[in-house]
Amino acid sequence: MIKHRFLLTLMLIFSFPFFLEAEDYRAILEKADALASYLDSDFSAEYTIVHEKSGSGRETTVSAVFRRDSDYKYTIIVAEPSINRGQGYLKLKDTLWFYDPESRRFNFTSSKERFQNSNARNSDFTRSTLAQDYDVLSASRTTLGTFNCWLLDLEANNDEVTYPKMKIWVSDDYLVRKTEDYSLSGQLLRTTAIPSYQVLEGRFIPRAVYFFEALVDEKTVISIAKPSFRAIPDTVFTKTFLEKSGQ
Amino acid sequence: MKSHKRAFLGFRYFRGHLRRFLFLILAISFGFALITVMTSLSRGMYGNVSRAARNHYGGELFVLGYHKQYGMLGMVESDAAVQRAVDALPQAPSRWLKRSLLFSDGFVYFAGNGSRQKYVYGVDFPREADLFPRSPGPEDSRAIILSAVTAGQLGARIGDDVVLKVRTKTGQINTGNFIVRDIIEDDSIFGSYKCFVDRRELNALLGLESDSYFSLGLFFDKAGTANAMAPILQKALEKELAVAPLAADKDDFAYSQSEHWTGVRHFVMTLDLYVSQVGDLLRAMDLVSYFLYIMVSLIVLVSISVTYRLIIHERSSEIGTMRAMGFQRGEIIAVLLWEALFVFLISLFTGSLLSLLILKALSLFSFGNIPGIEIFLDKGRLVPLFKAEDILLNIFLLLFILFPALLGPAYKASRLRAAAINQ
Repeated sequence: MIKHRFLLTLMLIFSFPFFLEAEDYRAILEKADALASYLDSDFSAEYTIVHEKSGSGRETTVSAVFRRDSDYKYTIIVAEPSINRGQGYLKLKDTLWFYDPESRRFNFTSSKERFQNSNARNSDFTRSTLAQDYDVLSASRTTLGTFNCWLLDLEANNDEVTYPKMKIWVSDDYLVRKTEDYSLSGQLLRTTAIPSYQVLEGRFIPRAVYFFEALVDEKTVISIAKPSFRAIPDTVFTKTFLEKSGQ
Repeated sequence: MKSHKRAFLGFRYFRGHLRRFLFLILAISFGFALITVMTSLSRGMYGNVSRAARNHYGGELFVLGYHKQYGMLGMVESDAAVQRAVDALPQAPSRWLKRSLLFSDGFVYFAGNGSRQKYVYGVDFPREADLFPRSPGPEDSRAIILSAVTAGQLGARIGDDVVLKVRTKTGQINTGNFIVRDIIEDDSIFGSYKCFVDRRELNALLGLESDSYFSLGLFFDKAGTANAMAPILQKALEKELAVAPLAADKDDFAYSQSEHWTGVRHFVMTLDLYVSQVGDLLRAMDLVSYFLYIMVSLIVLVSISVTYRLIIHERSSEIGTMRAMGFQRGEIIAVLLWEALFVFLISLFTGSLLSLLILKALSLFSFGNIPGIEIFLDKGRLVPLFKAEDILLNIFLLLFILFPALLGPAYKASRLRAAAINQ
């Protein structure tokens, strides 16, 4: 009898993913989105971006990031290195501007482009919309280090996303721990790892995000410091703010 | 006196006074050699750029299809309509090539290295076998041909597997695995970061229909035909497709491209328009050459005039004797002009030899390391191109300088009296 119960338990554990429907997987993504987005308040922090390229050494960029996820807005001001000081990004819904204080001009840029030539993309700084942008093709249970995770295979349902295919590891606390980004044909392009989160006012913020390019010997680490959920003035999300910051 | 006797007499006098004419011949030869070298090199440079451009763009006259919503990606909307327009041309093209193109948005990766490509071409390798020495077969759909610069940056060699990353027509990242079948050396302006893959493979990666193409390039046997056919092709296409007005220059073309349209808009483009900036540069070089030539010519003209006056002065007793023997003024001028003609012919010959020697000497050196000049070179070397119209123009200029410079002293000499014998 005990033996049968044991077998039944094992079967339940291993067949667990098959009991979940696509809608349940979407719920996992929605919960992961909710934890990675800050919809009920503004968010600001200092991002230190260290980019290492084989043969070219290490480049460090320090930026102030201001997010208003509820309005799909962000402003990023580059503080270091001195040669790029004053450069800035302003995202207002679907439009992303890049400001160069040298030319004092704003240029359109894309969320899919690299941020300051690092392995982070401009889309990595905005709110998470995985559930909205991707369909879950398959799911399985797995372990990632010490974390028990859902491993979800995702495929984009629109052309606006940076990567058309993804694999995503979501731990049982619905925090994204790792992603793999793929091309349309299934070539691995980038691996992202978020091993630990800091908690502030009950919300989760990554301590560091690691990006590893698959096709070139490059990696980037973004360390997030001085996080804050205090309200940010509306003027921060304007072109005038970028111009003033660039002076 | 009959003219052949004047010519014979002129030749005898020329031979007799050859030492006196040496400086004159040297000055004229140098001037002629200088302009011949400059114009032939200028033509050679333009020829190199044109040839490289013809290979790079794959034609001399083009039909291009731009889809505004797909950014720089393009496709011709109706192959049948384009074929009808081409068939209706009064001069049939000797050859045509269809190509797809991804502009500035392709990357090739190998062994942890990446290389951004200015041009990723989708070509039909069997049709372009003459452009690619080791052209892959029709069944070799995974073949890629890299420029030497790209291969060097990647550290890739023939036989290596590389990944080509592109953006589809809707902006998604797509990749394909290819095998390097050849690495092409191209020192031209177009030779830097580019690669060639099978057109259908590239179309699949870009999300385009398998047989679609961005450009139809037409080749003609006779030079200049492409420019003559462009307006005819444009008019014929206009009847069936959305076609931009024929651009007069690159600014016109850029303006047409900046206009708003939906779907595909076609452009008829000539190779000369593609390389118009290089053509302008070389035309400026030609102007500088001719300015220098005119400067040299003026110096030569003054030298000829002075030298000839001196020669005539030294020969005044001889000319006086001729007058005393009954030579008329016109006959004296004719004999002196015959002498000048021999000076001209010898100068032409020695000037041509000198120019060939200079060009040969220049061809021994590689100029590929000089920044900016490599686009005009053929494998790092200056290659001259002799055009009949240039040579005729240079000869005419030489005649134009030489004979007016001689006429004055010859006329004065003809007015010498027999009394000059005693001077």
